[in-house]
Amino acid sequence: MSTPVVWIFVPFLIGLGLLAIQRYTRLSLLAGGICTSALALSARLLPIGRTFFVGPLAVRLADTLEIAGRRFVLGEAARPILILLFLGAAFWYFGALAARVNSFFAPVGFAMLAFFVAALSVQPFLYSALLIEMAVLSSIPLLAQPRQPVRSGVTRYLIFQTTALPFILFTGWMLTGVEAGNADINLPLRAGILLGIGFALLLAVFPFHAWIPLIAEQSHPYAAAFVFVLLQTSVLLFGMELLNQFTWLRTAPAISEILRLTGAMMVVAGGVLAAFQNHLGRVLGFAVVYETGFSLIAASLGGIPGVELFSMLFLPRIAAFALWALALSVALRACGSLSLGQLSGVGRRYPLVFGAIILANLSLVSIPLLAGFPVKLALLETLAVQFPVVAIWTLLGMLGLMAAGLRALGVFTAGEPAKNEAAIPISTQGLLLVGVFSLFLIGILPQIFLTPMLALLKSLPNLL
Amino acid sequence: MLISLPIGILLAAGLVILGVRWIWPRFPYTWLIAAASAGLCWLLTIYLRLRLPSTLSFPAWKPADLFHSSPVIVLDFVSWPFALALASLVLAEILTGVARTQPQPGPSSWVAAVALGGLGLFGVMSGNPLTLLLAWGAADLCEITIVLFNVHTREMSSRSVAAYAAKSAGLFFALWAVLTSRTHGPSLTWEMIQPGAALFLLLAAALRLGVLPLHLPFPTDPGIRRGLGTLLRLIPAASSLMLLARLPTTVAQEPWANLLVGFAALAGLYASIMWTLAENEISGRPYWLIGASSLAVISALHGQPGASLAWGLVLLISGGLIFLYSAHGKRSALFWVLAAACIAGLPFTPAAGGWAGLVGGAFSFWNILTVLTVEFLIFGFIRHATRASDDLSQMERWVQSIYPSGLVVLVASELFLGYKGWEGSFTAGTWWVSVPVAAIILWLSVWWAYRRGRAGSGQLSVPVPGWAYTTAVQGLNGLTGVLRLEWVYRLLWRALVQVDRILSALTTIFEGDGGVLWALLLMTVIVTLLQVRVGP
Repeated sequence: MSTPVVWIFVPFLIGLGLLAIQRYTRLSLLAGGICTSALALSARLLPIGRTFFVGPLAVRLADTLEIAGRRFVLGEAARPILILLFLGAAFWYFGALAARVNSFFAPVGFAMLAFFVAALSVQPFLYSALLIEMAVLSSIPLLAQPRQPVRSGVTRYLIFQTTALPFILFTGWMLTGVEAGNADINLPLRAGILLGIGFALLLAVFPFHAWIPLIAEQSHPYAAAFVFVLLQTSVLLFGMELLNQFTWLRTAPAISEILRLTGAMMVVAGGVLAAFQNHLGRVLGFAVVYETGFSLIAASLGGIPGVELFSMLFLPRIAAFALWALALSVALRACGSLSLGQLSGVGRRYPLVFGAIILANLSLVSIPLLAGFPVKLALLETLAVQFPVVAIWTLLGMLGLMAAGLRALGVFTAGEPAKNEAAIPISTQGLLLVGVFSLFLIGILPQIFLTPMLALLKSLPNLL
Repeated sequence: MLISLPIGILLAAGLVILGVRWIWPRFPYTWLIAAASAGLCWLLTIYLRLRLPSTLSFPAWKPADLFHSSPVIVLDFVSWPFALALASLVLAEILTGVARTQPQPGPSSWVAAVALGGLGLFGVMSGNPLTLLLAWGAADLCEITIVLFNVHTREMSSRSVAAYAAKSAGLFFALWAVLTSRTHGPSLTWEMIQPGAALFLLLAAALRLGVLPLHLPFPTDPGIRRGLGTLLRLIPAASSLMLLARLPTTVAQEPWANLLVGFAALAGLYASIMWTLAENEISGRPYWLIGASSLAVISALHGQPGASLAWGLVLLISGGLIFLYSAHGKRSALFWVLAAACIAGLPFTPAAGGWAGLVGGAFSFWNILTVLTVEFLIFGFIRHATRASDDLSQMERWVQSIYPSGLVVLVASELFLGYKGWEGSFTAGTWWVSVPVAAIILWLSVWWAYRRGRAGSGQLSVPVPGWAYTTAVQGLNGLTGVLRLEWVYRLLWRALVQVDRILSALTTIFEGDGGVLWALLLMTVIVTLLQVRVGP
């Protein structure tokens, strides 16, 4: 028995099992939520590399699995990443019960999780690109509406993600020369550029961002946000693993500058473009671009503060996007459209739903008291000391996203209050309330909720 | 620990009322719970005067290498006067609420009052900028929620959102101050505010108060009840006023300081005239806020934080009194007379020290405007206080007992603050300005009362001759557009429309059929540029 079997193959098999009961969407989602919780719990509790007893049975979980000369390694250091991915997925599964996603959500989600964990654990790393591509391909049923033609956003998503594949594969091949130390002096630079382009495509860095707002507009908001967040989290962690693994990469003189400039550009582009959108899904899409930018900026800072900030950004982001996506799904069902032009005054009929959308937006802006504030304040303070100009640009992006939220608030609250409140199921209201309270709790007590995220640092010892 | 009790009592009272209403919807004693908690909070705040300064640190934010400060509340000689003013306001609003019948305040109103009070106390007790940011965030969210649930027209909704946006902009200025401070060294604290950071903090406070730039999200009051509406307008202002009172003596260098004083003085004069001419005190409420706030801002700019504190208290307590003074009785005139004397800054009243912030330094043209601002504020105050209103003697006996006690709380607190509010509060102040100002006002009031008496009670709606009124209104209407910077906003809007067009075109390019090719082309350009920069 080995850890890759437990956290890669078992989830994949669960996904296959759920495919068998996918017609019963709620059952499959419930089962998915329970299984991901169990996998997160097992990642927290199971000892790795030591013998333990299950009744009379002695079990030892090896941290490595070899398949055809390729190694999948999930050691002690990977434990926090596994907990983050599976626990985060569990929250999304339970939320999906209220979001009315399509029947592929549960099985496809497991397949994606399995591929992403595999991508983070495989050695040599160039195979990660293949595994990420498999995760991307498996996510298509989530984004495309069943029995309807595939729309431009999904096509664009496939094109960009698939284009990233050769760049990363090619980098892997070039790195053989770099690591051997007998390569051309310009080879690390070229490898770095290729790797950068690959990651730019994977992370939807401007100008490769177009698929995000398109999907956010054309697909089910909850499924789209799930794909965005899972892809973003996994690829960012993968990128940090690479920085941790390759000395030539993290010591490259320009890497920090490129990450910082790219990050700032994404924060500004995401925030400002969000302000001019007329569709709530697209606003969420640009918020994803904006948030990726923050992670890149944090990664660019280097040292312990940079990695700490990078790790702590995940929880407020996942909480905000989960709430935002759930509220958008409920809003879409209740109002039939997410275009601002058709949502005038709806906030008075569904205050909780549209209030949740605004709060999630404001949390990402980092309005005090909400989840995003503590870590972004710390990030801005660190930036102000080292790179004040970047801090100012970042503030501009934040103002842009805030303008998007306030513009939406103005539309939601325009007009007379409705006489009759349309019914939103109690369970859905409960989930929305839990989401809202979690945003406040994380914002007020970061020492309780964000400090555990620092465990992710264990997997990045060379960056500290 | 004790200093958190006033906040805790008010917030707990709100939760208790909500809980009780949920279990027992017709529970008849919600007012009693609100009044008892507000009374307890008021008494406790007075008691805490004996224990100044007191500090309470909340659990530290971790990791310490990233979070340089953690939430702290502090009660010292700056925050305590504001805390007492807020506690008095909440108690007075609940006590005077018994006399308000149109519409009658209900449990939701009491919950909102105590919740706002609790958050307001948290704001004024903020021990560092981080805590103030948290308090502002909480107060803004609370305020926008209450306002949006209470306004029912499209225009008022838009204006509420605009008001929230302006306050958030102030919040960003405060954040900018924190960052500016970090670029120069240690974290920002009240004890160590660098000049660069101080200017941003002043702008944050002035923006939230609506003074710099002058902006009136609600030119007419949104129609929220007199009591709750008063708390909604005054309590959020308190923490900004507290911030002004904590600024260092040098906030801005010349010529910026003089320019900002000029803007604030013009805004103050305009607002005070509008306050005087307003139909009633409720419709004039936004102008009172800006007029009195401008005095606090100017004092801060003149390097007189103590004077800023004094004007802030006048804004809150005298303002609170006039807005809650809905029923008039024979003996209740004493309350507004005392409150008006406090605005004038007569010797040994709280604002006696306030004049030093307006006319204390070298003479300038702006001094005249600020003196006129105070004159108009008092004159408007008297005019609105003597306007016809509900007759207290026609109300039930118990109302006649409880309602005045709310006004007593306010006046007593104001006088007590003048006596023992902070170090140096009990002073004759700049009496050679305050006494003539009061004398002029007294003379004008007598003349106006005489004219009103001749015209018949209630028939003289404006305190100036007809031609002067018409000219003033025309002039002010012209000035309004300029001072409120609406022309700037219109220009900005046009620029934004152009940006929208450009971005729409870019979006069409990147999301259209040729989008992939365009993206690849742009990527090639960026990589080429990077290669040129990084390469040999």
